[in-house]
This record gives sequence, C-alpha cells and structure tokens, in this order.
Amino acid sequence: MKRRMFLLAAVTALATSLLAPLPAEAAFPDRPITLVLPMGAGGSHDLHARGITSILGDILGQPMIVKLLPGGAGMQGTAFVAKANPDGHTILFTHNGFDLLVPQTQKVTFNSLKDFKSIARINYAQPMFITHTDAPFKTFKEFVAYAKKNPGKVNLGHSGVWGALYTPAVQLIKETGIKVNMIPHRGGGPALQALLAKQDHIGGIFATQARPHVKAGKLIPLAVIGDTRIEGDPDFKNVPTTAELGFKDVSFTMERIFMAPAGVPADRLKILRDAFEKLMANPSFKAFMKNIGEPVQFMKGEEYDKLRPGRHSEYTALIKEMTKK
Amino acid sequence: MFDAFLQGFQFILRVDTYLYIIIGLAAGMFVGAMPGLTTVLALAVLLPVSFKVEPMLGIPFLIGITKGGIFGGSIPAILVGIPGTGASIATCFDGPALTRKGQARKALEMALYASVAGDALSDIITIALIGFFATLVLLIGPPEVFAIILLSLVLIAGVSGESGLKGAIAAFLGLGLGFIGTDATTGATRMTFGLEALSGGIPLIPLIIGVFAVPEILGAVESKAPRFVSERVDFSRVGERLRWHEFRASIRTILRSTAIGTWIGAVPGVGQVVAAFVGYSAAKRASKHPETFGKGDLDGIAGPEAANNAVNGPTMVPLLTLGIPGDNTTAIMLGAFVAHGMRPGPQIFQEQGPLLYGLMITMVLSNILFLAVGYVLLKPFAYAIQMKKAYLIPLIVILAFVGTLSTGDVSDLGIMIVVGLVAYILRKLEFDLAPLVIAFVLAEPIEYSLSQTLLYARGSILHYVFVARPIAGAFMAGAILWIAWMSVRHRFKRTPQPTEP
Amino acid sequence: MEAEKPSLPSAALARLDVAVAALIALAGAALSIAMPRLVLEGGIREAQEFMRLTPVFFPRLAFGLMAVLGLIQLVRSVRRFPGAAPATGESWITKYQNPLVVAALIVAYAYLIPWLGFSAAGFAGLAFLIIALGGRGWREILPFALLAPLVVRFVFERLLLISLPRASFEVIAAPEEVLMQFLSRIFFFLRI
Repeated sequence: MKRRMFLLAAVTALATSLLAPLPAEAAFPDRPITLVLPMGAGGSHDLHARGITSILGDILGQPMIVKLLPGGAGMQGTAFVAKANPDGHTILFTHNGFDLLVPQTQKVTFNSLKDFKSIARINYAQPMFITHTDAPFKTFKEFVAYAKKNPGKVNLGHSGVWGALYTPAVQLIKETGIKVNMIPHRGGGPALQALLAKQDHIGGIFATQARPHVKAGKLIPLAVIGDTRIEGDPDFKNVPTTAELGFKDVSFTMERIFMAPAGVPADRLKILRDAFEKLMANPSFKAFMKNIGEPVQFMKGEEYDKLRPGRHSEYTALIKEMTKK
Repeated sequence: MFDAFLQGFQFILRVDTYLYIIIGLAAGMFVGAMPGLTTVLALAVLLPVSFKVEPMLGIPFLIGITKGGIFGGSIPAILVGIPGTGASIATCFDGPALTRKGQARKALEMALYASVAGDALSDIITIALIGFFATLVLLIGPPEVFAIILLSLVLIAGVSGESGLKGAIAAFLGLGLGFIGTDATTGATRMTFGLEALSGGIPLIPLIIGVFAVPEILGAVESKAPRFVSERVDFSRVGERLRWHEFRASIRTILRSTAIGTWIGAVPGVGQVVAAFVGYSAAKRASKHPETFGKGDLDGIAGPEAANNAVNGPTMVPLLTLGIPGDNTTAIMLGAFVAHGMRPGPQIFQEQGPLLYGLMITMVLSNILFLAVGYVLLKPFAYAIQMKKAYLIPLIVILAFVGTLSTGDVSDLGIMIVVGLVAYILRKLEFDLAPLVIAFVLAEPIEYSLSQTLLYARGSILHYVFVARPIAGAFMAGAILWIAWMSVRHRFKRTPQPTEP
Repeated sequence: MEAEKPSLPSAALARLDVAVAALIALAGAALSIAMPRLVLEGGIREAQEFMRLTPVFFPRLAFGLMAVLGLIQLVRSVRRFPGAAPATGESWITKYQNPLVVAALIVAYAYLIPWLGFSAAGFAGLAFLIIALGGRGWREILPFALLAPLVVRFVFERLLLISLPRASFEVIAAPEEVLMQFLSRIFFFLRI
C-alpha cells in the first residue's frame, strides 16, 4: 500500500514538473533548429554547414541539426522546407541553382519566389573554365575558335545537368552558338578526374579543387566566370573573367544562401537574420572559413531577396532556349 | 623521402592518437550496427569533433569510423539477417543460419577477423603501391567502369538461391526500380507517377531496410518460438569462440577476397556492396563443398567480410594523390583534410610528406585496435540476441524507423513499408531478393557509364572500345568468354531430371 | 534462407505463386510499353543529339525482360500447381496470423508518428507490438515501451543530431521537448 502511494506521488510530481515550465509565450528559438540541406553528404555545402552549425547554435542558444535530404535534384529537400511549419525552426541551406533554376525544369509543389524568404548569403563560388596541358587550345578565345571550327569534337565535362558547372557552359553555348559534346559526370570529383585523364578537353571547376593541379602544372585555367576576378588569390588573380573577354551572358555563379519558409513571422525572421550578421563577425567562423579555403561574401537577406526575381527570369529565358527543339 | 617516412613514424608514438582511433572505431561500429544509419552519416555528424583537434588526431579518428562502420554492419546481418550497411548484405546468406545453430559468436568473430585481415592487407598494399594505383586511377574511365560492372554481375549471377529464373526476375525488377527518379544524363524525371517522394528515386536505405528487415521481422514472427536462437541449441555453447582451425580453413578465402576488394576499390563507382558479393560468390565457387553455403558456413562470412573491408585502402588513393573523392565517404574525408590544412593533390608527398606517412602508418596500426575494440564489443551483442523476440523485434522496428528517418522524412517510412510487404510476399514465394538489391544499386552506374561511353565514342562505338580503350575491351571480352564457359560447363554438368524443380 | 523444396508447401502458396507471376508479367509489359509516357522530359535536348540511348531505353529493357521472364515463370507455376501439397488443417489466415497482425501494427505505428510524434507513437507502437508478440505483464511492458523510444530519441536526436518528427499536437510535443532538454542537461553534467 505504501509503495503504491509513493509511486503515485512520484508520477504526479514528474507529470507536474514536466507540464509546469510550459511558458505562455515561448521565446524563439525554444528547441533545436533543423537546417535542411537538399543534397547528399560530402559536398561543399555539407562542409560549410558542419562548421557553421556549431557556431550558430551557440549564437542562437539552441543546437542546430543538419538534415540531409538529397533527391529530385534538390527539389525534395526544398519542398520539405516549403511545406514545413513556418515557426522558424526549419530552414534551408541551398544555392541559387536549386532555389530558382531547377524548380523551373521540373514539376514542383512550391513557388520559389513566393514560398521562400532569404535569411542571408554567406558567399559565392565562381566556377572557372579549365583545360589540361595537352589540349589543342591554351586560352579561352582559342577554345571558342576551335570549337567553332570543329563542331561536336570538343568534350566538355560538367558535374550534372543544371549544376553549377553546367549552367555557365550552357550560357556560353547560347551566346556563341558553338556545338560541343557535353559529357555529364556524377559530381565535381569525377568531372575533375575525367579532365586529368584527358578524356575531356575542357571542364569547369572551382578554385579550391583546381589549386593543387594548377600548381603542379597539370591544368590551365582559361577564364573565371562572372564579372570580377578572384581578387587576392595568389594562384588565380591573373585569370581573366568571361565578362572581360566579351562573353557577358556567361555569368552563373553559385551563391550559397540560407532560406526560410515565407510564412515565418517577421520578428523570428529578424532574429535569424541578425544571428547571421553576428556569425560573420565571429572569429571561430572566420578561422573556419579560412581553413576550408572559402571566402566570406556576406549579403543580407533583404538585399538578396531583391535580386531573386531578376535571376528567376534570367533562368526562365535560359531554360527555354536550351530545351526547345 | 625516407626521412619523411621516419619523421612520420614518430607520430605513432603518441597515446592520444590511439585514444581517438578507439573512439572512432567504437562509434563507427555502433552506427554501422544500426540498420539504416550509414557510415557517411556518422562521418558527417562527427566531423566537427575532428575539427577541434589537430590533424594527427582528427583524421585517424575519421578513418576509424569508416573501418568500424563496415564491420558494424555485419552484426545485425549475422544476428537477425538485417544488414546494417549495404556492404553486409552478402553476409546475410550464412550469418543468420549460423546464429540459429547457436554459433552467433563464432560468426561474429570470423567477420571481425576477416574484416581486420582484409583491411590491414589492403592498407599495406595501397601504401606500397600508391604510385601504381595513382596511375591506374587516371586510366579508368566510363568504358572500364561499365565493363567491370558487367564482369562483376556475371560473376555474381547464379550464386545465391536455387531458382535462377526467379533470381533473374528479381534482378530486373530491381534494375527497373533503380531507374525511378531523375535520370542523371539528361535530367529527365522517370516513373515518379506524380509522387514527390519518388522524385529523387527510391532512396537506398528504406529499400534495404524494407527488403531485408521487414521480411525478417515478419518471418521471425511466423514461428511461435520465443527466441531467435533455436530452442534446441545448447545455450552454454552459444558464447563459444572461434577456434584456430576454423579460422585457418578460411585463410585462402580471406586472401582471395582481399585481392578482389582491393581491385574493386581501385575502380571508382563500383563499391563495397559489389565487392562483398563478388567475394562471396568467389568463395562459394572455390569451395570444396559449395552446398553448405547458405546454411551456415563460416567461409560464407569470411568471403564477403574480407572483401568489403579491403575496398577501404584503395579508395583513399584518388583522394590523396589527386584530391578527388571516389564516393560520399571519401568526399567527407576530403573536407576533413582540407579543413585541417592538408592539401591532397599531386604535391602532397613533397609538401606534407611526414604528415602523410604518419597517417598511413596509423591506418595500418589502427587495424590492431580494430581487432581489440571489435572483440570487446562482440560479446554483448552475441548475448543480446538471446533477448526474447517479443522485446527484440519491437526494438528492431523502432531502430529501423529511426534509420529511415535519418536521411528522409515520413514518406520514406511509407516506401520502406510498401517495399517490405512486397518483399515478404516474394520471399515466401522463394524469390531471392539479393539480386534485386544489387541490380538496384547498379542501375544508375550501368546506364550512366554506358551513356558516357557512347558520348565519348561519338557514334563509332566498337572502334572506341576496342581500339582507344583496350582495357575496357579486354574486360568485356573476358565477361563474354566467362558467360560462354559457364553455360557450356553447366550444360555438361546438368543431368536430366524427371520433373523440373 | 532458401530451403530446397521441390514444390511449394501448400495450395494457397501455389495459387499465390501463379498470381504473382501473372502480375509480374503484366506489370512488366505495361511499364515497358507505356514507358515513354512515364518519362517526363525535364531534360535538355543537347545530350540526345549524339546519343542513341534515350532515358526510355534502359527502363523499357529492364521491364520488358522482366515481363518475358514473368511469363515463363507463369507457365512454370501453372504447371506446378496440381502437384502442390493438399491443404493442411489450418487455413492460411490462422497460419499467418502473427505476421499479418505485426504487419498491420507496423503500418499503424508508422501512421501514428507524424501525428503523435516519435516518442508517443513509439510508446503505443511498442506496447502493442510486444503484446501481440506474446509479451506479458504490464510491469515489464510499460517501462520498456515508455523508456525505449525516449532513450532512442535522445541518443539519436541529441547525440547524433538526427532530427526526428515532432507531434502535431502541442500538448504532446512540448513535454517531449522538455524531457529531451532535461536529459541533455543531465548528460552533459555527467560528462564533465
């Protein structure tokens, strides 16, 4: 009998202690935040995320959990966040390709512009056109000329349809009308391997991956995509940009962005945006980015949101051009 | 170069290196043992831990996780027939049979020893021949990959189960299922039937859990026996350890499987799953008593286990010498290397020789720790299998759910269950489901490598394959010859039977 | 896992064998023929100029072969049918009662998760499963069914950082959350 009473008392105490601290209005965030990555493990986003989440978790006061949702070329993860409870505890870490371009190539259940708001952009990566030492061309202009004279003979390797290395190539094709043999690879790694093995004549790559091979003299960078050179980079500051060389339409760079569902209340969105500003100033974060060799090019969420509609229509035109027949 | 080696040697004299390796191995084994949790996930999650310490501690830590992970997957494979990782599927043939006979501990120990041996030997071979492997990597392109996959399929075919026809049906079903989702070559979406959950294709983890775990659970439930281990077994013998002579009988298998795994590791895109299967089928073919395979033959454990661990060593080669990751695991390792300030690539030997050598030596030594850690962790698992089914099965169910939810959301649970129920029915009808999973896993690589080959060939395919890429041509010719030989042999061996089974 | 039975053990299974083989043959044929309709072209044309392979080719081949083999299997199953062992005393429902119940419970459990959240659904799911499998005595069942989901959730969500579904009812979700935080605090306190 005594034991029964004791048990009952203990259960009641436990129950009350569990229910008691339910505050009327929960502070944000009041539980772990899920950071969704719509891609598989091991890419550059994953690497960024692992470093960022630990620091950001401290800033926000709640742990940040990375959830990998690869699938559907990034659409599965994106849709997941679009549909998630807009209380600010689920956010997306993606790039402009998945945000605005790929949704226009498939049937998706969300509206890129209406269903998401930007929290911040942390940096962007400029791909480079690069070739190996035995190629029949040594500069970018030589490549374009050669491709024009030999349609369908040049193997151009990329990392996946509508990926970060594919889109600039497609922009180039649209602007110059050259015909090349587009060879798909499963990701940047195999694309690089094909280039080193001299199976591909030309490919795309990011600075970090290219560096050891350029230094060893195996690969030659031809042009940086975009309108500004990679300043301050000892190995690549002399590589001309596509804009300089006269190919203005070749402009796709991969911007790493954090997005939240559009329904998130304004005050919570502000907390998230402010947290990222604090992140940029954080010394551990700066050291981490330096270690992984990536720059920091912060842009506030509000400003990035202004750029999105423009990009969206740019991609619409590009897709229409490339998929018509 | 030699003094770089000596300098690297001094790294092994630090105690904390070993501590981190041990923690890594244990964490890897734990994660590997959970069906549905992949080593990749463990690496990704524990990566920040490795950031906080210096490279000589952080990187062996991560390497320990990969080694432990592959072995960990064999534990549920042996105990309950549910592979913890894709690489352990081939262990499910003989593992559960041994458990039912009360020889779970022997099986686990054989798996451990075979894994350690395969891993250690392939590490040594990789280090010794690193230059050779580096050149090999650049010679292997899509035609070679296609040819090797074809060869592997041919070698694996017909090795498991009795009914070849049903196995073939399962294989084509798996192949078809593997094509659901987005086509990598053109970006077209296929067979998704408007379901968003399928837009990325059927994810591998729910498929494996569905195909293996669900039928095992339902099958175990069929019999009214309260435990997995047959009641007729003498319980005092369940904890019996592997005897030396039993291990010695499998040494040749282990060596063969190590060779197989090492070769497959050098080819990007093929992977541990295929290595395990080829190891198993090679062991079965070479055995003097192939009929015992599938009923509890320790050789059937040694074969796949040595092969799938042997893949580890060579996959590091493109990573270290070219900075190119071969699969997800090495992709994370690359991130770790970069974050620690190492620069994998052609210059790495000159620039960071001592560190690199130190790393390679620790890789070899960690295998000894692997043995110790595995040994300690085996015992509780071997005894845990004796838990009553009424409690063990719900526990397996909840872990299976967690595994599926780890890289996916609730719709993946649905996929897992649907696949599972179908698999259960097929199993009852004596369909062998291992070909289904292999074909599923290989669907994308086959189509992909073939498409790429055609793109490179630009129309003149025969010329391209046999003249421009002779290695691929040799493999394909080898595959065709093998098929021819096997069917001829089969025709001569088969005696006419009154009724077709 | 495979036994060498010359024929299937019961008439019910033999019938199922025929049905499944027919289904395979039909499904394979249907998928193979309808494949072009199932392939939504989101892809670019550029790649297809040089390639003879379209996205339709391989799936069509796979399912087509499956259909052919399914047909052969159908013929075999039908021929084998008369030779099946006569029905034993049990009807197949009683024989497969356990697996059916467990399968139904697993499906129900999966449906409960997005509704009740991982821990609560786990409690219900585990409890019913254990009872269905023959576990007895609420003194053993309740603590296990209560603790196991919580422990699993804690280990995987807090230590391994895998996010698990929350309940859609705040009443259930909030205490679960508080409990997790409470456990985290104990854990980190002990770790020091």
